[in-house]
Amino acid sequence: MPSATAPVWRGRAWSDWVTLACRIILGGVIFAAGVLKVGDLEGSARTVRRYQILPYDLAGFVGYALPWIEVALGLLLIIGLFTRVTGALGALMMAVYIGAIASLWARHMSLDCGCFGNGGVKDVFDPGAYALDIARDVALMALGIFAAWHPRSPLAAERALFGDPITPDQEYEE
Amino acid sequence: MAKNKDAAKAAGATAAAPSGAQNPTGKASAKESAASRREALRVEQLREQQRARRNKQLKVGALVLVLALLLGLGGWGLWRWSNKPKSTNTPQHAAAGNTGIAIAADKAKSGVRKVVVYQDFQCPGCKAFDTSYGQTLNDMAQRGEIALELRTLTFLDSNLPMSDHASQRAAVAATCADATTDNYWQYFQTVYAHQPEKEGQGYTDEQLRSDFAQEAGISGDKLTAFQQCYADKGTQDFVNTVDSNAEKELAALYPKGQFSTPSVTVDGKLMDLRKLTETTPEALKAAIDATK
Repeated sequence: MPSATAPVWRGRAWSDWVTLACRIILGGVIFAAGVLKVGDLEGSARTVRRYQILPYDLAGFVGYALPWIEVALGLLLIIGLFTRVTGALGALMMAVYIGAIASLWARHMSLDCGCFGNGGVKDVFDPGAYALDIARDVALMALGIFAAWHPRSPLAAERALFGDPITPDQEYEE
Repeated sequence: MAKNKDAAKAAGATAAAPSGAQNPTGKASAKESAASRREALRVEQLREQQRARRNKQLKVGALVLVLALLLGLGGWGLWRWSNKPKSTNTPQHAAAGNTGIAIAADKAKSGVRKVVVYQDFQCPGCKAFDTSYGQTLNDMAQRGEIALELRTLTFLDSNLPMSDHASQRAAVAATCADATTDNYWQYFQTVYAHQPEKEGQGYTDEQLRSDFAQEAGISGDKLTAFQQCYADKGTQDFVNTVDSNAEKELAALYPKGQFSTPSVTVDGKLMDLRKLTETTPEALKAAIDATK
């Protein structure tokens, strides 16, 4: 019978470990992307403007805010706090990025996606690069969806802070 | 964990079976109702624990949000503070609205056309354009035949991360030359003369601060003032204003907003540089006239 004092590796469902992997990979990628952009917020703003999706000033604001949001979201995923919410937000973030890259592709614009900072203009239109970026983001989105669907995982700060879920009037969902 | 589950099941069972009251054997009924009361109490306790847990989650969630906001604001403030120009120098020939540097604005005859050159100090095409037409444009401006304005962008810094913001540093240096000396044009030409063969190597601080300044004919007290301006990033705000204005304008002029440098406008209309195949002053004048 698993209890709060049992070692983390005892009585664990495989899905718990999958969620841990999802947290670390998705969280790590988002965190890294944020950290790389935080040092050059003007560059980040410029990248968002180059997508030509949002109005100029709003794009600048998003460019300044996004790296910080990525850092925070990445950290929360890595330490495993509010995994259901952060997993869903991570997946949502990826969905937005996929949409943005697909829109570049559809408009035949030759840009580097700027996902990890320094998004520049490219000399040639390269659909292959967009396909690769989208494939990566789809994979990352799947990790976020899994973590949101099954948030229980080992080495999670939320378990240390809140303990196991208490559900007196219904079966466990997890 | 499992204990909670059992209790939950038991609570469900109690709620679903009120038939206990109709049980003919009073003794069993009393026993059952005592058990059901115990179960109800336990469920109530679990509910209480659940509420406490949810409260804790909300508190931690709020704490995380506040912390993230404070860290973000703090980091942003720190970044702003560390990037703040130590002093502010205003270029002498800033165009109205700080859109760029106006060349010989006082000499322009009334009614002449306004030519704006958009360029980035790290852009090879801009160097080529300047080599071919820079002097001609300057001559025309000095004769008052056109109103010439140079608008320097710094967008290539994003494409060329290894250059450590060489576009911006060069733009700051050039405008410092205008703020502290009369040698803007010479400085501008010197930067292009030393543009690295390999795009992206940029310019060193030493080049911009010392070598280029001396080559542009800045010396003595003026050199000291220029170097102070460069060290303080005295024209940083001006450079940023010019850059964001220029990007906005060019994005509006090009289809899909995909602009490139060099770009030239005549009275706000984009000049078709592809038609400018000859490098003679006459060809340039014809191209200016053809831009309507």
